[in-house]
Amino acid sequence: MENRLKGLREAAAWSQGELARRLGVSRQTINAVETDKYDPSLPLALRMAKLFEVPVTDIFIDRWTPEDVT
Amino acid sequence: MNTLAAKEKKNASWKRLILPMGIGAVVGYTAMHFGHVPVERFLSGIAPDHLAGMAMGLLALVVALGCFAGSLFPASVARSYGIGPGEDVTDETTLMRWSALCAVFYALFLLTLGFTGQLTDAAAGTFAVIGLIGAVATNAYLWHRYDELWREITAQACVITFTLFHYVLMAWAALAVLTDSIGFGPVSVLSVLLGIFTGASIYATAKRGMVHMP
Repeated sequence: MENRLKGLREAAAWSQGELARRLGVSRQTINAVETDKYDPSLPLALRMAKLFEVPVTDIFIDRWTPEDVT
Repeated sequence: MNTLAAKEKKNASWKRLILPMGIGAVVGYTAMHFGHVPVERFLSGIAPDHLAGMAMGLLALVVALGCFAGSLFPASVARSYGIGPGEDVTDETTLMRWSALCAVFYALFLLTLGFTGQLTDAAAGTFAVIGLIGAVATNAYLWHRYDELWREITAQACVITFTLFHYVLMAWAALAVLTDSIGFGPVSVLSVLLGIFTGASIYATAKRGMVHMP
């Protein structure tokens, strides 16, 4: 899933390690999310949204659209 | 990066990986040959079943040395990982050391089983128990320390290992029922299991961009 985590982190002038410490995860987790290699758990995604004070949907971009089944 | 450039970079990475391995193999063989290291006599009393365990034990020792060396030189690890400016792996050194310790316990256990002929029963039993308890304790501690990414990687490696290993067990069961010649002993089975888990772990970490060619 695409995301804007790197842009938000750089706008806050934090390193991956700094963001990892603030979220209570490893630096590798931040790196894996930023490079689209890992989708974080819902609790972690919510923590990211709280930390950057943006909605989750502003961080993670899901291009799925529901089909009209009617 | 275009496809050709990416391919060239990949080839260069493999060459950089294979070259030191080749040099190491030649130097190792030469040292054993001219140093008159009695490898064949040394291994002659060891059952083939246990040789597989010893090979995995040696692999565990290499992993332990690699993890421990990485924890001593985090800057070098950071460079080889190609992580961004302002980043470091200092926070990861504790986990590297615990991983090294965990691998040491596996090595102790597997090498003890291989060297039972050279050890007294009491010594072999003691080393095997220490290796087993140490492996359980360090694995439990590592799982406790892991964050969600590492837990997912471990879980995925376990799923892959189970999927592949049960095919090995199916073949073993078929051979046991249909033939009289069974080539597997418990140490062989354990070695195959650990070998598959090692490969699965590398795959799971590589899939998340965490394995980098030197």
